[in-house]
Amino acid sequence: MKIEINIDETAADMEIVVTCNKLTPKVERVLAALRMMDCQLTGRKGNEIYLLDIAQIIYIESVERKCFIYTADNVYESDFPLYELERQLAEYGFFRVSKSFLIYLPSIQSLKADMNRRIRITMANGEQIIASRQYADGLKKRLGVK
Amino acid sequence: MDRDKNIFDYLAQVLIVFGFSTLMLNIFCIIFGSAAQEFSSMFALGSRGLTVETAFQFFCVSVLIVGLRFLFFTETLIKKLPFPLRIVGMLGCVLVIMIAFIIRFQWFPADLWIAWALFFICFLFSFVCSYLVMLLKEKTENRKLTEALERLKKKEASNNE
Repeated sequence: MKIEINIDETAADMEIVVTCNKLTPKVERVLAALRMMDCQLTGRKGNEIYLLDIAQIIYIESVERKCFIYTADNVYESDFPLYELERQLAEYGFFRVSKSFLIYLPSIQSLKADMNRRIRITMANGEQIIASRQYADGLKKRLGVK
Repeated sequence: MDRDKNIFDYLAQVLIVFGFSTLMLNIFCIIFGSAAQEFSSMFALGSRGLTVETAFQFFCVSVLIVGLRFLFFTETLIKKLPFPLRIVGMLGCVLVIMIAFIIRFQWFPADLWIAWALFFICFLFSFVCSYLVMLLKEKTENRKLTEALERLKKKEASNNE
């Protein structure tokens, strides 16, 4: 893969041009990573690829090495593993709450502490997610409780 | 576990349990020591305080209790067990240990039913107190979490404006 960087002081915005002879999965991954920087995530549903605004996402779940992006109305599959999404989306308000779930903090509807030091999270779509003990303290720190 | 605890964390827990139980027992010694001196090895010195033997016995109990907490309230050895069953398991084991120590070290005569009745009342009272403290802690934590969530929502709303 050839990477060319042109520095032009007169350029108003950053422009990335991808030149390829075919839209391969590798190219799609590069595009998806670039879109993530632009607060967008690529999700697959059937044979179609959708561009999702980060603010639309409620949570991301990993099931048997596949990641599913949940919005209010739909579920999309992501090409990225959960740890990669966690790393890329941390600065956009996403937080890992268990081995399988990455949640979008502004999509939390309510939080409830359980006696066994877990946190029960109700998301905007009504789904309940449990923050395991391993991650509950981190979530409290992130929310400024601890 | 919320983080990897080392041996010093457990030692600190042992010393907290031991310190608290020793303090309570010494208070009991001052109040009931003279009256209980004749039939309890715990109060052999009357109102003058605990004997070294009793102190070591309670140290052993503290170590066992912290061991049980490690067993039931971490997922190191028991991976999947519902929380209510963990509480039941912990309480059952603590009760068995206490009964074994009472009989082995003659903390009070095993054939004195009133002593057993008082022991079970104290045990139940301690459990209810612990449960109430846990409930209070949970309520406080929920309030803090709700406040934190409200702050997050406000921040998000101001960012979107």
